[in-house]
Amino acid sequence: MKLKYDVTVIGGGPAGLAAAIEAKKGDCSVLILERNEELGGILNQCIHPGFGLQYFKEELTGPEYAERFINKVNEMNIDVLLNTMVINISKDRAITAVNDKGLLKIESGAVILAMGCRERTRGAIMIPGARPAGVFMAGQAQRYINMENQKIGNKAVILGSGDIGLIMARRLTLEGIEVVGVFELMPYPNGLLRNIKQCLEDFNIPLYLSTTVTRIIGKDRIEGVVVSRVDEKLNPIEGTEERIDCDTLLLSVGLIPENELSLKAGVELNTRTNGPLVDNDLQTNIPGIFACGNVLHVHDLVDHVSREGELAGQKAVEFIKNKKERGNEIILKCGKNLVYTVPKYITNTIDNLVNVYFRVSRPMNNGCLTIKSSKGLIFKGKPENFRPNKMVKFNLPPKIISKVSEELYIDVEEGI
Amino acid sequence: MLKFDVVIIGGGITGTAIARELSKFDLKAALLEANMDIASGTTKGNGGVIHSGYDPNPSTMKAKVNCKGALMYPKLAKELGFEYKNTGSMVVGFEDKDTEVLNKLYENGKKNGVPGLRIIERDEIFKIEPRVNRAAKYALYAPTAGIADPFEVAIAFAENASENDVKIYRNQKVVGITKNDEFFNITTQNREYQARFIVNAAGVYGDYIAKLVGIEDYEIKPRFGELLVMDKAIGFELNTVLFPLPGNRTKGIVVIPTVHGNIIVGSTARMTEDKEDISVTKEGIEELLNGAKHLVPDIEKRFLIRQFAGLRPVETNTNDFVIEASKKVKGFINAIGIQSPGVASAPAIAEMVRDILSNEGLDLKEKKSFNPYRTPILDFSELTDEEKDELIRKKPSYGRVICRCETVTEGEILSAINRPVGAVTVDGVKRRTRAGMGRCQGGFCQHRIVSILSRELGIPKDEVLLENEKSKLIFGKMKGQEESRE
Ligand SMILES: Cc1cc2nc3c(=O)[nH]c(=O)nc-3n(C[C@H](O)[C@H](O)[C@H](O)COP(=O)(O)OP(=O)(O)OC[C@H]3O[C@@H](n4cnc5c(N)ncnc54)[C@H](O)[C@@H]3O)c2cc1C
Ligand SMILES: Cc1cc2nc3c(=O)[nH]c(=O)nc-3n(C[C@H](O)[C@H](O)[C@H](O)COP(=O)(O)OP(=O)(O)OC[C@H]3O[C@@H](n4cnc5c(N)ncnc54)[C@H](O)[C@@H]3O)c2cc1C
Repeated sequence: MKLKYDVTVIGGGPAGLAAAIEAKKGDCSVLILERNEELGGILNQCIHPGFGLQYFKEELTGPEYAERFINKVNEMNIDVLLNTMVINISKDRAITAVNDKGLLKIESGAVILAMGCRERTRGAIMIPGARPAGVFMAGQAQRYINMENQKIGNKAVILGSGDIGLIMARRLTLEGIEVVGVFELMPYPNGLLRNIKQCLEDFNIPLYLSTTVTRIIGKDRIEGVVVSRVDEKLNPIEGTEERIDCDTLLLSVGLIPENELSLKAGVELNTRTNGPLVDNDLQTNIPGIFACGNVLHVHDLVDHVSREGELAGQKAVEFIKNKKERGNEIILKCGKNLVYTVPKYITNTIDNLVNVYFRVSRPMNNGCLTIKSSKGLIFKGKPENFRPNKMVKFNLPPKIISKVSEELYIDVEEGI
Repeated sequence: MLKFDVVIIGGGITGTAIARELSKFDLKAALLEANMDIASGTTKGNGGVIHSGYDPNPSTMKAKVNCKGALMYPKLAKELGFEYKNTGSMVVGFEDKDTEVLNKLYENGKKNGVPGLRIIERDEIFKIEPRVNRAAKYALYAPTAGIADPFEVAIAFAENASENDVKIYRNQKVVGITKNDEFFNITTQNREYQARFIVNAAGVYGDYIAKLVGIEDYEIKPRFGELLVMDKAIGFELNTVLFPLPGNRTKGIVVIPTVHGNIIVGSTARMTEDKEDISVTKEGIEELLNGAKHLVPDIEKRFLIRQFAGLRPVETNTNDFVIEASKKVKGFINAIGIQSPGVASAPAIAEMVRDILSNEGLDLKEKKSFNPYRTPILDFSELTDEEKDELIRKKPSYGRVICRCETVTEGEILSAINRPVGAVTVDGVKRRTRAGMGRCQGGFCQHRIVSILSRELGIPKDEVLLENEKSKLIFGKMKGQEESRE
């Protein structure tokens, strides 16, 4: 089947939904392609509250938050194809997808990537030991429990203090599954502080920092793990090994943007985050292909995802009208304490504020945001505490942008 | 009581190759495998190189079957529809003095009858494989080497054998064998079988099976080895298999392209006692990464998706393959101690076992109805867009993508479950279709595969296993109620 749309959105999670709504407001024909049998993305399995405090100024569960956008999509009669998996995108924005009716070819004026992310696996973090059943990724376990209503074990160890791991620690406890503890490699927790409080402390679940799982034991079903303390270089310290019996191990050790599809279209990725390199219109190096949400960079809060989706939708509409390609008048370079910035490039001909998101690579107390051009410091922020688990957002005012050419160095520095 | 002319014990690549060979003849044969699935012993944990055969000492049993087996692969791949690539291989030397070792291997290979061996130099090395470390100077090039997925091969052997009337029984662990004048009585945990001949292909337990009939001559110890799998996202594929100069015991750390476009790095080697433990170690992973980077500097740790390990069954008296009829117990044939290059050699081992059986008095009459061809599970991702569309219109289940990383559809999974010797576990589905083998390692699709298995096998979800009999994945419904048994 052949189809033609102004804007095609790949992925019907919060990023894709927000993007589609904005694109439709811009009077474009819009199609959402979603692999699952329903819209909402990962939110469908997040039945806990904590969503929407910024966007709606009220606290919602994941499905409630998603529902508001889904209702909008339905009211606006935006076309949606469910159970439809995109398998290819070409440089000229031709999309190939399949569902159980056949193969679809969709010509598209603009494409918005909103495929979300996947969880880092055991193989990627190389935990030594046996390979029995009972080792789950935290989000995978969340799906088994919240969507499939299946019990995944009786006594769990959680490796990694990412938000999903913390939320699952609480969830398992509420379901009567014993959680022995949460073990974190780094000397600081990875999830939001509010989740540490609400999910661990309130339930007396211990959090062990600078500790990791160094061996998995059990031939058929996991029978236990060995945990060890680690030194400053994150190497296990000999003699600190301790065996803990458990029948379940949950991994909450990071999320990775899902960009294998983007690569097929030739989209350039940041090798550190696996997210596309975009300008402040969220446009990738491939003209007319935009990215937003967790496929671009992993967000802590869905509220930011929705805002980013909206921007991508608006810019896709503009692209249909003026065909402007990704700008790179200014390149944002990361200083040594930053992991990445989104955007990477800035188009100089703008009059609006540019939102810049970044993450620091290590915790810093009283760090100052600094912005430098080749001529020297142009901005220094007030001292603040920075944490790798907290995505930072700041506005780059037009008056800074108008002053510089080519490169801006962004960093967080201590003691300046 | 189930009566057979021949019972093969062990469903690894050795046993399944033998089963397929025997399925060509008018006789009653069965294969007994202890695990839930075939190809779940050493055959699932190895490098999959179809070694050309320059390596074994010419006086060994290995030398007799390796080169011959490797040369049988192209035809077998066509008949049985498994993926095989004739990649060739290179042993890479970095210094002038390395030519000495390369020349020795070359001479050895000639004695073993390996065709086309050549010592090549820089220009040709980089032409064949541009990713090799630029410091490479010389290489022994073996054009007949190749690659295959060993479990895919074993599964193909078993399916084809089954279609040609060899009985494949899984979850049948042999625990006792007795013998009277005419036949063996073989006992498993819950059944009995009768056979005139037994072929022992029980891998690391080959000595145990021999002891069951009173043969104490063999001792099998595992030589443990680890391997790594790299994500396809590493951005390049290798054209050929790359070896360093061989170590004392093994072929060193080898970098191997796979038929599916990944890269495998293998293997470490360490003698152990434990015949079950295939836990990977931190040291092993480091050793492999270092070894791999030495040959292919572009290999990066961050593209690792999985580590695994296997146990080479080493017969300690000979350190060689043992393929012979027992002199003590008439009708008992061993195909044990099949360490590396067991995958490469399997087809030739099967022919050798056939001839031994014939010598021992088994009547081999060709079966007219024998069908050498097997239709593999269709690979949806390899079809053209038009073919995909047409297939989905005929069978909508091919339009439901279950595993997104490897683009495996429900249609393929159904085919894997509902064919002869079909998948009964999550890992069984994975080995037959690649579902769950990609970068998310089943994070997104495992629960869907559990649902499909539960539906197709007619068992509750909490009885769906990862791999072995006790490898339970889930424990029933959360909210207190037991899963209903339809
Ligand atoms: C487990 C978990 C718990 C979280 N908890 C919280 C919380 O408590 N509070 C909070 O504010 N935020 C939370 N977040 C963060 C927030 O939910 C996410 O940032 C947000 O859902 C990301 O939205 P997205 O649209 O980018 O991706 P997703 O929600 O992942 O949506 C992506 C969609 O794309 C579809 N898709 C992917 N590939 C294809 C393809 N090839 N073809 C068709 N469709 C495709 C997927 O099926 C999916 O529906 C959580 C995130 C996770 C993963
Ligand atoms: C790390 C590593 C790398 C390797 N790389 C290569 C390579 O690149 N190329 C190559 O050619 N070879 C390689 N090999 C060697 C190759 O894997 C083996 O030679 C081959 O898999 C042996 O097959 P098998 O059928 O003899 O044994 P197995 O695959 O172990 O099969 C034996 C079967 O017998 C069953 N069994 C045991 N006891 C009983 C019982 N009591 N009742 C019923 N069934 C029983 C087991 O469950 C098992 O399935 C490698 C090996 C290792 C460990």
